[in-house]
Amino acid sequence: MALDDNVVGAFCRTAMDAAFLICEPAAGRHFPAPAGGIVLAGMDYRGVRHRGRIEVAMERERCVEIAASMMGIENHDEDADSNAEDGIKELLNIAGSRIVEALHGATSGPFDYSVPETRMTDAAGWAALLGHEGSALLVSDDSPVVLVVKAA
Amino acid sequence: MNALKVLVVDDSATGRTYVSRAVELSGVAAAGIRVAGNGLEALSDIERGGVDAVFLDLNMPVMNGFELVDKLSASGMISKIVVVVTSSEGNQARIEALKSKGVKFFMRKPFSAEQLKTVIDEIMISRSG
Repeated sequence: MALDDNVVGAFCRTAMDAAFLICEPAAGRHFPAPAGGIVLAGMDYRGVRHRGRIEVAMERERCVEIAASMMGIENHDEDADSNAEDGIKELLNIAGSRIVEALHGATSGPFDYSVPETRMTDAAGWAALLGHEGSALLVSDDSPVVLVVKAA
Repeated sequence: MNALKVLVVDDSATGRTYVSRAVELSGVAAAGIRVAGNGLEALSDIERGGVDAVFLDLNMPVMNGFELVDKLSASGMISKIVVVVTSSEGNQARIEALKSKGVKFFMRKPFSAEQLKTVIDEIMISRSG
């Protein structure tokens, strides 16, 4: 089961509003797993009736751009590189509640959210994310992004 | 530049930087802007004095924003400062509960620098009144 369009839209709108990251569904386009480092960010959510986990993965270079955009600095600035993982975590932190609202309804809360965390993953991890029933392949500046919602 | 003393509380360095820059662009002197990485650090800073307004994230480790608001409300300190919650929280009941404990403003992330300036302006007007 692919992710609902509303859920994908909630993430893409937030990525644009929070980090000027233009993101859209890949719409049938295929991408190999990124050759460079892949950052996987994840966050759990829990409400009275619903709980689950949201994950997003992308090339680390995209994370550098997110951090730079949020901090108002250039992509090549040292601070953008050193805060790359923090940037994707903050994006997930901001997008999480909107994704959950899109998935379960705006009045289904309240929800508690874990503090987002990141780890590096590889081509096998990327393939596993894409193979999840709640995944969506997105594209940002010709670079693939995977969004996964694991509703329990 | 105004003399408002602002504490930005967010566990995310990118989040802290974004809010701090927006606060500065709103006319607050850079020297008047301090940061904290969680509620516990913020509480320590607030108790030392010299904080007029707190821009507070909710989802943080160690001590989250809800817990800090509870402590500031219980001690009465929340009446002496302006607490602005900056969070992605979207549940209206939780937002109203925070306001009932003394939170003056709620800004849902993501927000623009212009939206933040509106809040700073309102704080300055209320302080001059």
